[in-house]
Amino acid sequence: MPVVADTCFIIDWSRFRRRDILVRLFGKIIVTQYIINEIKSDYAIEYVSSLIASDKLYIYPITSSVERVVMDLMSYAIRDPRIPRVDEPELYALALGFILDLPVLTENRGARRLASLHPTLARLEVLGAIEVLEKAIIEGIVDVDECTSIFDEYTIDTKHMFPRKRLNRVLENLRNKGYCR
Amino acid sequence: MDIPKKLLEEWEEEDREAREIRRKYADWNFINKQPPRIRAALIYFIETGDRRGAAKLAGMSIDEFNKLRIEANIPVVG
Repeated sequence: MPVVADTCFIIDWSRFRRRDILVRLFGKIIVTQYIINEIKSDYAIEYVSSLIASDKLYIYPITSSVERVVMDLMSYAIRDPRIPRVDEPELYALALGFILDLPVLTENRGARRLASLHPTLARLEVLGAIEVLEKAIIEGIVDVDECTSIFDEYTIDTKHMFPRKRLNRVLENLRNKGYCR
Repeated sequence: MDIPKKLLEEWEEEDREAREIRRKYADWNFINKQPPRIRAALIYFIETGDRRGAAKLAGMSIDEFNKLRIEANIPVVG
């Protein structure tokens, strides 16, 4: 199943030595034009270019139906003090995920909390790197022997650390299901 | 929408833990040598974890700011 991704996720993921996991897991990545405008680093440009060249990245047009959802989400986020700042690119990713009924990849705290709180987004699956790596282990894309080292590799390559409790919970879940030794 | 108190507490705890991790790992020598605008943006990122807001403060694209926060040894936590 394809997946929608926002800029921060792609910027981080592009630095990961095993970034091929994403396409192996989801097949196709849907983004908005924002990503193309925002990427500047060699890592991200090279990664996005390679995805476009291999027909694995689809740039979805920003239509009026997407904009209507974005305006609704923005209006909701502004009014709820529990939701940290969410900017347009992340809102467009959430709106695309909702319209296309596809999971959304984002690390943005505001976007993740908006998805938890907004009644319309109740069915939307929002994933960060930790959940993507967990899925990759469950799907057998990452070997069971690498089930702890893969999280360390991601942290080293991207300087992205996972909250201790969440990581422990993911590892315990994987062990309980026999996906991790 | 009403959400369980436990989840709200978990979010607060995650925010606190993330802030502490960013403060702990940050290269304060590097940060303190930066021009005021860049320094303010890095400190804002340490305190909030808001990459996009920090990039705007620094007058950079989000990707450029990401490179800067890596140079400053500030992890993204999440």
